[in-house]
Amino acid sequence: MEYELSRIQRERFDEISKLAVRLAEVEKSFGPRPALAGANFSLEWGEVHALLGENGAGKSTLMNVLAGFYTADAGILEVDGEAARFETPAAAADAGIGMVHQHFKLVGPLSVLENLRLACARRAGWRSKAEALRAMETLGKELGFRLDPSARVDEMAVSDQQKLEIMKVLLAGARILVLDEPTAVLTEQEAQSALGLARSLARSGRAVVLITHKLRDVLGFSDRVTVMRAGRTIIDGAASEGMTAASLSEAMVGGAPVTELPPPSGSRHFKPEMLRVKALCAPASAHGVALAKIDFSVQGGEIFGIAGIGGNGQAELVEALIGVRALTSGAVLFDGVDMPPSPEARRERGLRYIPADRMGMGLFGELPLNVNISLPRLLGGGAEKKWLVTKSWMNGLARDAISQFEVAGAQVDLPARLLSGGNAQKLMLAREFTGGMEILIAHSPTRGLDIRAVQAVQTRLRAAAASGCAVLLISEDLDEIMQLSDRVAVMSHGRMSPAENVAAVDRARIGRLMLEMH
Amino acid sequence: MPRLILSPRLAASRRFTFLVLLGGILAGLVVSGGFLLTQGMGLSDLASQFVGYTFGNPAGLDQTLTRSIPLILVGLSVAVCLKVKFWNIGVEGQLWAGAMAATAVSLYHIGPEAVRLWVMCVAAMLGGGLWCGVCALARVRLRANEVVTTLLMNYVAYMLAQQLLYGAWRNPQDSFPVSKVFAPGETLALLGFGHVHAGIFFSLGAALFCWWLCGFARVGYMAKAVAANPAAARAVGVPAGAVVLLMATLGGALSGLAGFTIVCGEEHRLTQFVGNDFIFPSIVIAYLARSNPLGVVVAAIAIAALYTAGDSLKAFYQLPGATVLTIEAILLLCVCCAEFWLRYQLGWAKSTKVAP
Repeated sequence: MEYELSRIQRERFDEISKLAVRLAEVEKSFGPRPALAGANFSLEWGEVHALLGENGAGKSTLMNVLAGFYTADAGILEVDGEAARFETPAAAADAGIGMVHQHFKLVGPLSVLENLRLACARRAGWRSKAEALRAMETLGKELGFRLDPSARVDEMAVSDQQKLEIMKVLLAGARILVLDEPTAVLTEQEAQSALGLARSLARSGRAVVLITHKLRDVLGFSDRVTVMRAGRTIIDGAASEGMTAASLSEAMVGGAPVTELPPPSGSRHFKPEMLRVKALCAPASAHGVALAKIDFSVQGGEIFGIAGIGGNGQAELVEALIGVRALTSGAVLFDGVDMPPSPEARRERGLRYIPADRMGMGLFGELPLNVNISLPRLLGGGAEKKWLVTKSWMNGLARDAISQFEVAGAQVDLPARLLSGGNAQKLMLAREFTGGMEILIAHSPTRGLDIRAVQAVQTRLRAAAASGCAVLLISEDLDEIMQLSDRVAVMSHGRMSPAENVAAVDRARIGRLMLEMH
Repeated sequence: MPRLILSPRLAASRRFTFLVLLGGILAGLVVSGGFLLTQGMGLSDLASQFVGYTFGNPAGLDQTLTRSIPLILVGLSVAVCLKVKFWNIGVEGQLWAGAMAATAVSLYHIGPEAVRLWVMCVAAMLGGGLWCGVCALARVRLRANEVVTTLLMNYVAYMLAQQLLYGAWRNPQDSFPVSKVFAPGETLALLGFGHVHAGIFFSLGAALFCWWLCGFARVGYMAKAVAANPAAARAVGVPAGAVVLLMATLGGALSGLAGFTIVCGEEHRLTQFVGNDFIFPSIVIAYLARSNPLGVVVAAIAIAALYTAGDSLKAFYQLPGATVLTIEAILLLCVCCAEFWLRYQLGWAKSTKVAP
């Protein structure tokens, strides 16, 4: 009898302690919109658990509840079998939960060691610099990499910054790690090694959550997968083995499965060269690189892809092309003639631009949709209205744009910042695809978007090229470049490789060019 | 147990924004009233001074309206500059510059006599516009902070005025530091209601012009874009520097015009007291009006009424002049605090289930 009881007890104990985290029926609203409407999630010790979902599905919100950044309105949270409620991130960290955000929380001007001491000294109980250094070296050995403790963080590569973030949460005592889109900013090779690291952390007895919307990360590197849609859990911790890309994307999107973007139909007719960049040199931005003799040209009807890891001069190139960064030498020609220097004059010549940072460089978050849409039509000599801009005129334009570009749930008089990423990007396209577009510069146009929004944007880019525009596509997503471009070049350290036909290039070699070309 | 939670508000409607503003002003009035009660005033005194005298009595109304003429203009000046997030702390300097320019036209007989008043008006606007435009240019070209430059330009203008009043422009008849009285054709006509002069048409006209410019002209929309996101504005092709320069120069010109209404409408010459005590009210007015040009008219008249009441408080209750300043500050603080509710909202959290 006594034996029986203790066996049951032990089994129950095993059952409970196998779970690192249990979240059940979690609800959280921001204003009237529920971000989580009864979400479930369980995490076992020793596993890599992928959390998959479209933008706005609630995966980051759910993990922010776990990490103490938000408190749930309702629901159950258990950590290591015990009920918990975290009012602050510090409380969650005390319980062994560490989150690595997509946008790193590092202090740029400080060194690696200074960042670690700042974040972990209290929890790790370090009393001296030497102690911190020893702890860092020990952990580095376990993880199999080494960072220079005196390197300045803002001068390090993004992948090293990510490693530092991981060290930071581990040294602060985390045994449950939440990695938010860890591969979003990395190259192919770097992503592989980051995912490998996540795996080895799990195998050492910790538990790792991988927030992602890349199916590859799920299928290749996770043990189990949870899929969320519209604040609810659709697949609750199924084994990743046996999942297919089709079944996962159906669960993510709901309804009909998303089809691959079809290849461009019919024969392509390229018009003569429209944009030519000749030996362009330009100074670096803060923490950027200078451009060194960039040469390329884009024909009408063509999509010219520029691949490369972010921060290798793409931002500087785009700024030089739209006219907000002065050149040190070289030229930008449009139809064989020098481009006028000012951004407003270039726009009048037909240059359109989709920035990588759509809320920073594209849209006006605080202004309503109707102003966002109509603003370009008020500029320059060809302005449609000069002295009497009416609400009804702006609303008409905005309504047309909303219906034509399928900006879901948009109202003409609400501020643009309320739009989700995908809808904001559609608004951006609607604004730029106005009459007279001849050259389109699209910088990471699908970054951070969900599958359906990605398709909508990519279809629009194709349509722009088909209508005779010269399209310049700059992206860190190699799949996207390969799928859309006619020709491709690689940027690295402010230089550009010679352009090649996309049919003739080899992915692996492009990857090497991204990393090695100096 | 239900808990109160504070969460960010997604968007505030125009109606709600207005109600919040109104609530802030009411709260400010209640707090100010409480403050005055502690200073020995009774409730009936408050009503008679603030409502009865300032609006119900011809002398009080006259004083209020006359004072509101330059207040509307300096309020517009700050409001127009704020449309491009340009903090104009220099309305006094611009007002002095305008007053000096108008006076110079009178003293040196510039332009034909028939249109001398109009020449003075244009000169005043040019003077004020230049005073603020220089600061805008420094911001656009050299990234000089306009809060510092416009503030310091106040002193430059004031010192220049002192230099002139004690020097070249000193009244030759009695050697007082005031300029010669303007010729009759160089002053703004009285309208037959106390001291209220034709300058009020300039103020109201300027408010209408700014209302149109900010709400219906394309420049107004470019200004909104520059204020909301300068980098995006530039990328989309808004000539951001030119827009800032234009709006700030216009703002300066409005303050210059205020100087013109004072020297031509009230003083009829340049005196030592032309440009005093305008900086703080101008900011309060623009803020209370949420930079809406028509709102500025209402706010300016309200602040002018406060000054009128303040004068009688000084005379009949022996309260110091700082009382009015205190009330202005209370109003501004209350409205600032009320605006918290434009960004946040309070609600009940659903009860949290406890883990089994």
